[in-house]
Amino acid sequence: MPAQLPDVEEEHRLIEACQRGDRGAFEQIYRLYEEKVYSLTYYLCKQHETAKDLTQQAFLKAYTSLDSFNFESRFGTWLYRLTMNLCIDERRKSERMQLLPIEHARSPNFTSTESADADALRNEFSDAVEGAITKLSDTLRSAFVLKYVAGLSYTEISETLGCSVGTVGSRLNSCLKILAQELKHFNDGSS
Amino acid sequence: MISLHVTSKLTAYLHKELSEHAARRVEMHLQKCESCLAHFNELEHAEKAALQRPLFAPDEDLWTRIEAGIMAHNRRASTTPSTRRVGVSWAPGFSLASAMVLLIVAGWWWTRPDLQVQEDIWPQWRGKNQDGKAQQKDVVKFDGGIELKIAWKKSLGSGYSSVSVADGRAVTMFSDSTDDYVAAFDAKSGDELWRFKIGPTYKGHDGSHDGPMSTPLLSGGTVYAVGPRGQLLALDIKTGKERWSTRLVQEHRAPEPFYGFATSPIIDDDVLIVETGGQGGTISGFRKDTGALVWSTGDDSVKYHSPIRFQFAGQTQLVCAGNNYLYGLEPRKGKVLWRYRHDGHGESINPVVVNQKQIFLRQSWEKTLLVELKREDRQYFAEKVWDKSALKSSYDTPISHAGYLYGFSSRLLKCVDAGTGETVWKSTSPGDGFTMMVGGFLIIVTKQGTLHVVEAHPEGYNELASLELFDGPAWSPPSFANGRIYARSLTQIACVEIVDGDRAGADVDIWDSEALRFAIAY
Repeated sequence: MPAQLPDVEEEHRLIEACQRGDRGAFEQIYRLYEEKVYSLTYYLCKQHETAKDLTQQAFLKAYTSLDSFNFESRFGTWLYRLTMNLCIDERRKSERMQLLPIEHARSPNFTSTESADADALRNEFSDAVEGAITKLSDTLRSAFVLKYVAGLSYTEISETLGCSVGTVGSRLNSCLKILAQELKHFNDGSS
Repeated sequence: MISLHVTSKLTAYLHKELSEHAARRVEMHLQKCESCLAHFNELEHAEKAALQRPLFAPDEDLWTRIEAGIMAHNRRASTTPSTRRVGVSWAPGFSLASAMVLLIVAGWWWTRPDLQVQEDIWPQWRGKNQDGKAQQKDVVKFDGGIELKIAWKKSLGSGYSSVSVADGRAVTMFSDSTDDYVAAFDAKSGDELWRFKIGPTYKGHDGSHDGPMSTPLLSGGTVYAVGPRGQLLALDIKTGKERWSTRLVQEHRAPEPFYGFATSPIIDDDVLIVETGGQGGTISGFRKDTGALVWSTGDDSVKYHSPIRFQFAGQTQLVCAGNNYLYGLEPRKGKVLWRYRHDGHGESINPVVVNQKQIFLRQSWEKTLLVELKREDRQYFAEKVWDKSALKSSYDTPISHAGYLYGFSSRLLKCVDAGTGETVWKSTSPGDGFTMMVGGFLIIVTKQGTLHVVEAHPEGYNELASLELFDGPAWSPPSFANGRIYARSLTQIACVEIVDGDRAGADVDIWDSEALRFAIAY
């Protein structure tokens, strides 16, 4: 199971320790956010190896830029924004990333940690959801992952993406419509 | 009337992002508009699906890559003037009084509870995660320098057993030349708290020394130990009194290895796991509370190997070597999930986890191996990645760190690229010995009894500190708990503190140590 995010006070205490150069505290921060940051980069860049590189870059950048974290927001919001910017830069550098399909054949070291029974293969529905996410455009997918992977509010998403709150709502509405369409056969059955 | 519908607001309503007033309007509309209600239900279904999006965990080695990057960053930062210091201006007129104020504040800083050493244990051979690494990682600082200081040192008889530390006790095994013992010492003072007689001393022969070889496991207030003749013991960690015992040779048909039993036990949930070897089973699980046999698996013989726990694809496996096979087992029932024929017949084949799917093995005295674990169609199997003479001819078990393996190959300390098996560097310093790691630094006890702190970095050998620790030879890897190194030789046991070379400025980033020394000088 992924690590439980601490309350704001505890998180800020960890950040302060990181700012004093405590690598142990920074590893705790990493453990708290590794899964979300990695998933975010994976959904955006569609390649595990690139996602790994971007996740590494994101945490290194976070470590070296910690002085600029002003404690006015959740650390996660700051970290996700930083990660998104790296992904956008990477996308600009490599337009081909947009053309690559998501790797459906997952290597054994990449495992979904959502399920308590981690030994079980990912179920069909989970595959279908992942497949549906791949159908989203880059713009919609960015809003989607910030909402459903990072768990940001509309305001935080709008600040991260540089668009209005209304636009965030509109994009997420489009995302859900596409998902509903793509997963219709599940809804008709069990759901 | 389409203009009255609320479809454009339904997603925000679903996400509770509307104002109270707007949300109430949507609610009222949904009560009377079947079209919008149907649309809302559809969005709700999609929302449930969206919340079931899979998340992915990165490779375990990603942190080591990041940590290596951080260390490189810190190293660069330490060689350039800091720009992150507190704005103390070192004008010529800086007074002694100001310096005293600084000293008082610095003293307060050092007594802050949040900066004190956290509780940390080393409960078994190779540490908590059986990777030879301490949990505490920020002990060794690059920018302040370090010194090694003996906290305590006591006489101890012969033995190869390393030191396990938990519940304020440092526990090991030794021989007094007449009998073999399990003994507990106060981790802080080194005072002996109790000793439990295992039986008559296992006498050294054919080049070996007297005494036990296995390292005790400390878990749940119990010391689990394997004596050199296969005595499997559970002792109360506070008193040393026996809770249960069983004899691996007599009761479980385990053949006694040529130099006696050296395997170190581990625990998974309620099962105590020991490599036994032979027809009675390569590896066996015992109830940790009674010592009753739960399962026994495999028919491979074993020498001086120990099992480890390994997380693969979210599942805990036991990975252990026999003389011919490397096994992956399900821990509760001992079911063999996979096995890989290595045919090494090595002396001390101890698996080293390199990353989430790869395991390093010194399968023979001359050969080393990297295997990759895979799973297809619900079947596990292991495949060879490389087979090289990378870290051969040693009883030291290497440390995997940031894509490299550090350990002894014959008498040389080596850094080996874990991806290729190629040697990156080798060093005659500090001399043949045994390794463990704190943060990115190797702690080495040599067979000559010296202690060394060495940076684990592919650029080359870089020693930060050393200490003449023991009077005679040592044959055991060091341990680390509560900010201290624990080590033993064939005649002594010791606890060593890692002290900042310049405590006033070494760790506290906001205090410039050079400036502080300058102030004190005035």
